[in-house]
Amino acid sequence: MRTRLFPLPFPPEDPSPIPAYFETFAPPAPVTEKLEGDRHADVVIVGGGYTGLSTALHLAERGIHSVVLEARDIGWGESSRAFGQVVPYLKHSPEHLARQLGHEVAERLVDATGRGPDLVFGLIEKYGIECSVVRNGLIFGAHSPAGLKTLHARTRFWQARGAPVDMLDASRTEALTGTRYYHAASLDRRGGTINPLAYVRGLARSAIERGATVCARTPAMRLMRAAGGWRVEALGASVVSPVVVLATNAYTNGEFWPGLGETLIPMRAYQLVSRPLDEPARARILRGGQPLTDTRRLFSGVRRHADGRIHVSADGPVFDMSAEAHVNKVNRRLAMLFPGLGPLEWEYRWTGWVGMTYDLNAHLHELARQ
Amino acid sequence: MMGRDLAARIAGGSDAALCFPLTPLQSSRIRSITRPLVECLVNYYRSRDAFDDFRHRRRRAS
Ligand SMILES: Cc1cc2nc3c(=O)[nH]c(=O)nc-3n(C[C@H](O)[C@H](O)[C@H](O)COP(=O)(O)OP(=O)(O)OC[C@H]3O[C@@H](n4cnc5c(N)ncnc54)[C@H](O)[C@@H]3O)c2cc1C
Repeated sequence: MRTRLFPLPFPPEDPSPIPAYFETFAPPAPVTEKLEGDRHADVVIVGGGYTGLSTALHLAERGIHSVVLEARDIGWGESSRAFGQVVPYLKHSPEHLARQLGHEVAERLVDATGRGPDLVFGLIEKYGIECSVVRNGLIFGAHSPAGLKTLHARTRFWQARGAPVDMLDASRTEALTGTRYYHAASLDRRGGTINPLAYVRGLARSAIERGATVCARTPAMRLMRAAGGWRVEALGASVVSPVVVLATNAYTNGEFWPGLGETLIPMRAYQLVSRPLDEPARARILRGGQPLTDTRRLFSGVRRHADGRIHVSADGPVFDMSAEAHVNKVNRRLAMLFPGLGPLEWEYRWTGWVGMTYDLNAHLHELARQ
Repeated sequence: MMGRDLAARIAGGSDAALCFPLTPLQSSRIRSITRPLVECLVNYYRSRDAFDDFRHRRRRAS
């Protein structure tokens, strides 16, 4: 139910399109099926983003047939709108997670997250997904003494596990990024960047090629118990299956499964992409090819694409359905990082809804059993 | 990770093998005031970040 006094936004109603910039470099979406009649499947998956499609692909690898229902186009939710960093970290530090979840569970989660980029880049390689992969690592600048302490601790933690993570001094940081702003930074070679839209389409294509059924523009409307498991209704048709996966994230429609949407806080995130930089600026800025983020509290990424455009994660109103990014702030921040760059012209802008949870952890719920 | 985990569990894997632990569905007691609370928190983080920038520039200048 949506609260009245301070209503939270309802992302399924947001018409803002899939990023046109990513579209220019992404292969077209695979041809999907129309859901007709009453079908049966081993598994029904609601939501055609990374979670739903990766589930379908991993199920297909095990010979399990799934039907994926996506309300809009493939990757319509967060998955096509991301900044494109493939990161081996979670929001919370390993120590924090151990306190929250217990040592054993936290250890499993941290270990798997550290290997997360291997999983993503492995799928990309295995299925030949064309998504502008660059695996040069990720740079994190220390923006404050506290940030520097965090980076040192994180670097020591991962180095002790044999991960390719190093601290960079100011001159090495400048050599790779072109900014003198940071006294130090860390370079984590496990991570990299992708075109998020191309990746999610590649997951869909690979799942379909392995036997999954994917139905785009098919909003699941109702879920009810039925003989043989559950019946999911969409567009006058239905699928019956013993297992249903709801992978709808911030775009969850509250009425589909009562209470599920209320576990999430939909928060708006903004992205801007500039016109291509001129050659001298390209030779100077982010020349190592790594995206640059720092230890600030609010996420602030900058990356440079192969066509010489600067791409930033921008700040802005977090709950408004149609609001603009704080462009002046972005320009000021870039001027701090790269004095002499001059004001950039922002050619592409888009937004997406991040499904934040109350404890900032990703959650897996078992909603019901047969 | 979530997709791989889900597929393994559906295929009969044990809960103990999940990277993401199964948690109960719980709505937050602060749901009704989430919006103003988060807005305050984000503004607080913005100002802390801006203050850090200011101090950082001062340190660099000296
Ligand atoms: C601006 C932005 C930048 C980000 N940057 C990064 C980054 O650099 N690195 C990173 O790791 N993560 C990043 N993220 C987060 C990342 O994109 C998400 O964690 C990820 O895409 C979530 O995938 P998902 O499949 O769980 O959800 P989504 O991609 O949101 O998919 C949910 C899907 O469910 C569909 N749906 C909802 N209801 C129904 C229904 N009833 N029937 C059928 N379909 C339905 C929606 O249309 C939607 O397509 C970013 C997110 C945003 C918004």
